[in-house]
Amino acid sequence: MLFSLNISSQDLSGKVIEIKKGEEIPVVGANVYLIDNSKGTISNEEGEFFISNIGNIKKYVVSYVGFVNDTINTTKNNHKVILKEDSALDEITINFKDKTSSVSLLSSANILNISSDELLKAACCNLAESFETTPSIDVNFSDAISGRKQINMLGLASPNILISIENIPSIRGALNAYGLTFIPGTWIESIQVAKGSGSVVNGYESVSGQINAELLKPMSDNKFFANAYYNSMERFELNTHYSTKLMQKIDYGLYLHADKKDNRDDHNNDNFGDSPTGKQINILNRFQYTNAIKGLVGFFDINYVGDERVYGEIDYFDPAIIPGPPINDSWGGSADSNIIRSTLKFGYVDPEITYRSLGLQLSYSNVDQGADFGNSFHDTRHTSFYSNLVYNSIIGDTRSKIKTGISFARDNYEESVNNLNTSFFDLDRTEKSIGAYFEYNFDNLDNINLSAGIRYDNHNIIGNFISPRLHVRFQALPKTTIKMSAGKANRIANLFSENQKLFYSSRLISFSSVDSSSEFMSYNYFDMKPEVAWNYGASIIQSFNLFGKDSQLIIDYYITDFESRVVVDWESPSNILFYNLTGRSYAKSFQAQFSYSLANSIDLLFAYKNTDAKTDYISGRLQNPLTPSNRFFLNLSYDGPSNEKSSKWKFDLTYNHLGKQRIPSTIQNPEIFRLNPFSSKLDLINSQITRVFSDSFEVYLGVENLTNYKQTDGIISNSDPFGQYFDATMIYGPVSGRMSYLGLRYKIN
Amino acid sequence: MKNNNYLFISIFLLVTLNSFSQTKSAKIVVDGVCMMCEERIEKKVIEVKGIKLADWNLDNRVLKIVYNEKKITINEIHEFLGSTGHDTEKKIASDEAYSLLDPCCQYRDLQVIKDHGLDRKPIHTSNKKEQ
Repeated sequence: MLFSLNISSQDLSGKVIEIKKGEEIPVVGANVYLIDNSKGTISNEEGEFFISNIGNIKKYVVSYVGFVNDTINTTKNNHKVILKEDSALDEITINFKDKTSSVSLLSSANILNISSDELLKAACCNLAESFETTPSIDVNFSDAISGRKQINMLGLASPNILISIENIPSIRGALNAYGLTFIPGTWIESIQVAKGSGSVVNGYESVSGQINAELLKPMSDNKFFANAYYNSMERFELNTHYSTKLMQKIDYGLYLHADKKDNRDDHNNDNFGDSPTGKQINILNRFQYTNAIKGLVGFFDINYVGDERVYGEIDYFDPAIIPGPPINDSWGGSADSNIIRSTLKFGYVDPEITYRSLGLQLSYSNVDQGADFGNSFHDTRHTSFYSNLVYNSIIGDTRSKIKTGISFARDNYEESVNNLNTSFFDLDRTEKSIGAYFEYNFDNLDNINLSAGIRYDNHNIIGNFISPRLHVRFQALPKTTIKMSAGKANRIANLFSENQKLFYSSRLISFSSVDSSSEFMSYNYFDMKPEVAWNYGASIIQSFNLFGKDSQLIIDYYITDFESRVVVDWESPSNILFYNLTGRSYAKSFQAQFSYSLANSIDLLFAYKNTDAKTDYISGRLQNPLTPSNRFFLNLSYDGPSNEKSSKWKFDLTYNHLGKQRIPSTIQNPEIFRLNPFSSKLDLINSQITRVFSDSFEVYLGVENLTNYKQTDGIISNSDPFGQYFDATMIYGPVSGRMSYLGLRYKIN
Repeated sequence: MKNNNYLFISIFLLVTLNSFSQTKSAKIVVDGVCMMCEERIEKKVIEVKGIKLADWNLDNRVLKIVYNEKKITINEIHEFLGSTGHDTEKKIASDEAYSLLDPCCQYRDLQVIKDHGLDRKPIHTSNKKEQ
């Protein structure tokens, strides 16, 4: 910061300016006062100040937040002083800790923000595993073959959640199968979880909620970061980040992820590998453009993912590795994915009139995935283009904000399926949609915040449709906040990608058009209708002081009601049936969550969740399979005080109780291939301890599934996988027992 | 059905290009010491006809405003701020308006400033005699 001033006999005047990126910017509001405190003023809009009749005072002081106070001689003419930035500010110890995950009290939507600190609590290899310490989202085991984890929100699986990366819908279409594993945990800056119907700005697809992952930004990221991870299943991971300033206004970041697992282990002795072998290479290039003076920001990303997984019986070998005809009769397969994704984002904020802004998002992705499973295969190539133009402004004043825009999406699928050399499906199709939306937000700056949105879309399969969304926040009492939401969503199911685990069985897939009056003849999924759902919910957030410590109770209840849905019926063990819903399908989710700071460094989070999710199948109304009705969750975390070298301990313990889960009927199987109609209850414990040695280095050690639970009946007819009773889809718990891991993080600021 | 699309796009464009009317932005130094001051300043100012944005920063006491200069002048805004009990660089609030502020917002009181952990002086007390 520089001062220039000139002095007439008795008056003191000058100008306070700051040099930012070579440009002089006046500093408004700096304190200027005579050393004896007799007179003072503050710099005005142009940075200028004036004090009359200073008498014989020889010195004056200029102070400004973030800079060291400076004392200047009044007698010098055109005096220039450079103020040093106040480094001491960084060392101020703030005893009040921000919660690593918190529910926003001010936003009208029920949004949970998960910071990068929370993400560090779990082994957290990728986005799917990021939610293991978040009770609102269930992380479940998908099947006994692929080692994948799937996520559920409000009793519905991830395809019902609009998952976006920096507000561009991303985990959709063909990526429903493996997409969550293609976003490495260390790349994530923060995650926002919106329960219930989301904002119209991001599209019409969110049935039960929205999850948005913000990635690290090259401008604010560390210069270098490295993370290495190794676990007892012999899985090795490496993440490195590098960022640099390319030009004055352009920052660049290179993010690399690699993982590898070579051995096929079988801890539950079912002759099948518990998780696949394989490797992944994931490269992200980010260019960030920032021009603060003109109010321009931009991002350009190019991401490549190459992923190979080999799964199956422990003596299965991928024929691609050992060429020639299959050398054994083992059941197995591989899934190879190649993804190229590129996004361009541009934003303009009027530097003077900051409520006025314009944003453009463009995204292109090409997902090429080939997977085989015993005698079946599923190949998909999904090319997607997405664009969204959004304009922000106000009506009257900033209490009434508007967002409006248009979006366009085009998805091209080339999909082919061979099901047990018996059924074949070719599902080449193109989906196109164009939509316009308008969202109005009113905030009385006190106790009411309301957001009402509507979008209108034209889709080549769904037709023309309207998606209304409403969110209301009402602060009833100073510590009591009530939120309500309602909204409608439309979605086209990608049946094979969303249900890829069904190929890990000898089930025969068939479509049945129960409703022959379908108007969607052009839809290639054999008259399967687009899914339409309403979501309603309410939430109450009560903060209080218990024994002198902050605590919070959140109770929410959400209902998702499908008007139309493609039912995935696996109630008969020999087949999978896809058909249009004729009765009701709903998910009612209740959650009570209590958080409490036991001490300055210890936080406790307890949650109870009840899910009532039922669907009318041909065989009657049944609870959705493999979804626990009751779940308890407990998380205890300790984030110790750091000493002068910034070294400290962190400790985290998560306990999950999953109530019994309904298992799809196996009654038609011979007795030895039948399962109980309900699973046993599960108790799972994960724990992690981190030693922070300094600001730049830390080591963590953890264990998942501490009680060593192993589901042993996960694969029916495991000794005859080509036989008609083979089924590896009935997974309700971990198949691989206890897993321990060790990792380190190193960073250079 | 196609007509419907054009209708929506035209509505969107209309809203986008909505009256880029005579809006001006300005920065005013307004005295205050706490979050309550911030709430009061922002809430009272935004309710004034012609004001479109009001954002006060506790650290540097700068109120950023965006206003319609056909509806209100900058001097009127200074006057209004004075009537809320807050001093600006151009207007000193009357003692009566000032005295109505919450005790924790008594920004002219050196002890109150100190209690809020701030290291600064009020804008006006020291050279008040001359004004």
